[in-house]
Amino acid sequence: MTNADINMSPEKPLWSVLWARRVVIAVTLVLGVFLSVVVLRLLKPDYTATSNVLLVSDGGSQDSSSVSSDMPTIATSSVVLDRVRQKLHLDMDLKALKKGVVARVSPHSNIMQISFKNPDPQTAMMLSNGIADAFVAYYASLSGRRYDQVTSQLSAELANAKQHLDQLQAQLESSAARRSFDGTDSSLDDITNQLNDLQEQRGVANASLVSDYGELAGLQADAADFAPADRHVLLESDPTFRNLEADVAKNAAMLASMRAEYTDSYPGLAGLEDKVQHEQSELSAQAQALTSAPHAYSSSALQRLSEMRKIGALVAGDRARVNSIDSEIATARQELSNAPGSPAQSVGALRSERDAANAIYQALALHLGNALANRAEATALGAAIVVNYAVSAETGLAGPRTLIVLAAIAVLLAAFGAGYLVEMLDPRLHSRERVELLYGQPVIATLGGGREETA
Amino acid sequence: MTNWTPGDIDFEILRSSVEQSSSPPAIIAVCSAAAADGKSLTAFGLTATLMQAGHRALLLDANLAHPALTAVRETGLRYEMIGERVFSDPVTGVDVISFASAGATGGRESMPSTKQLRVLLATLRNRYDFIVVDTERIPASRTALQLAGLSDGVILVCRAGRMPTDDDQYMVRALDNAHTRILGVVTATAASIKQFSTRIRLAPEPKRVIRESSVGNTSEGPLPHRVVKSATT
Repeated sequence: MTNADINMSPEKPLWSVLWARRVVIAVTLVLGVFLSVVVLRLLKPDYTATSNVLLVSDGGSQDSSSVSSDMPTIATSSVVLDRVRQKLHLDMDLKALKKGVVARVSPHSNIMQISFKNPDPQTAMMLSNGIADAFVAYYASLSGRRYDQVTSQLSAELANAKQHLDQLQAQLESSAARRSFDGTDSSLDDITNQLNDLQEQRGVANASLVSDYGELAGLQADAADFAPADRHVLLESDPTFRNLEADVAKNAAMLASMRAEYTDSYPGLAGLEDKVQHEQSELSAQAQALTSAPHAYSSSALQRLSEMRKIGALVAGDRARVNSIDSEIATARQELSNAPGSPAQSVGALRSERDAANAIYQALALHLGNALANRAEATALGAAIVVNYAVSAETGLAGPRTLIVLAAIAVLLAAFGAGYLVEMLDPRLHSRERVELLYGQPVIATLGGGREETA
Repeated sequence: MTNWTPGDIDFEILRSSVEQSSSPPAIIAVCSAAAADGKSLTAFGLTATLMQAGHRALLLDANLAHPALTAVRETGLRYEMIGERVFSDPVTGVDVISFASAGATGGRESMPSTKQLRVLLATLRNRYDFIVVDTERIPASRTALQLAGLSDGVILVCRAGRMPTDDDQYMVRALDNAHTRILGVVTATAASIKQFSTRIRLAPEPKRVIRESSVGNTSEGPLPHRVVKSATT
């Protein structure tokens, strides 16, 4: 192309500009096509598979506010992910696993989405579904565990009561065999009956105590399990802590970089170390202040705390009642030991004691039954269910045909843009306006300007 | 009719611009700031087009650096200058006067003095309707500026697509200082300049030297038209 190709018409049409810069456009097109091919070949899309888990709250209500903040943290916790690794026999380390997983609950929804991103769509689907399964199993174990302690303690008490009942039954049978008739002593029988009544009351009170205490222990274990999640939610929601955390991370990275690059004699190193230490202590203090504040609880933690206080009050009440009955029993026994004919017991007294032991046994059995029913209810209602397994993985990138079309459009635009830009930046006298501007005179004729010529 | 017709609407536009200007100039200097900008093309085409339109037109070749219009090498003809100084270009039929000396392109010794130029132009003004002067580029020639000053109007020529230079600004300032009347700017594409050179085949070297004294005498005697002495080399 030579200058002869430049049209001196006052308003140069676009096609004329493009034709004049056809070499630039052609070169840009070739380069653009080459780059597009390279980029399209290097582009490795990430696939994302998503499983949906329905979260059922304790009361069976549709309000997800008490669970939504904790559940994603539990779903992506090390416990769940480690179970996934073991179950699927993965070579992937925990950090990489944690990096690929995202769990979120939309506002006003009980559905938690567990997504996993991986270059391989099959792996993404497998891990998304695996994490959903592991989360559901772990959450089910957490929901029922508070009642496991109640049932185990009640079962132990029930076994003791059964043993006591069997002993009394044996004594009763032995006494009945020795005596041909029931000799009665009214004063002894009164004391014995009173004692048996007290024993029965104590048994019932003790059964309540054991049941409530077991429930309290279960709640405490729950609180311990959820504490990291609560703490995480609490700290994540505090902007000051997050800013401090970002600063510490940045300065620690800078310190590590300087340590790698310089020796200990580098003057800025000590100052930076002091700064990082100071910021870390500030971060710890902020975390301590946040977690120790009276209001420093997440909604679900507050719910657990309230329940623990309520059950604790019940346990205290049960214990006081048992202690009171114990003192009354001690008094009755004292009276019994001082009464004439003691300690010999009549068959009637033994029968009364057996009946009392039987009542205790029945009370304990009733509590155990209730505890088992509660556990079943908790497992059913305070649970999570996988409602939608991932069956496909999708990528954010468009399909290959669309990408090729987009690349072609981009290359064409870039080529035409380059041609037009070169034309605009060219200082040569290739337009009537520039000539008139240079000489301050009008152009009165253009020789050869009406033709497209090639030198 | 001329033998060479530009046949281009562009020259017709140029002629029309000259003819229809407020006071049509009789002597038109064609100037440029750079070499090979298309001065000869413009001067030659304008003269031919004026002749085609029925005017008495003369081309005065004052471009000693590139005296492209003095002879036709291909024809092998020789031309007498005034009395032997005016000749008709055998290719174009355009009346031409050249200051170029024979044998040495760019020889300054053949250029008339300012006084001689005044006399010559006054004489020619009486005999022609239009005298088109092809000059050297102004920054390189004081004579070109003198001719522009002696003319009634100046046409600036610029090759389309070349880089602007300081010479362009210098030329505009110099013409302004000389109080010349600039008619406008003509732009010429490189292709049209090349085409002109190819078609006209102008040989730069005339065989006869114009004597200084003979220029002065031109005001006295009649200027013969198309005085051509043919001779084969």
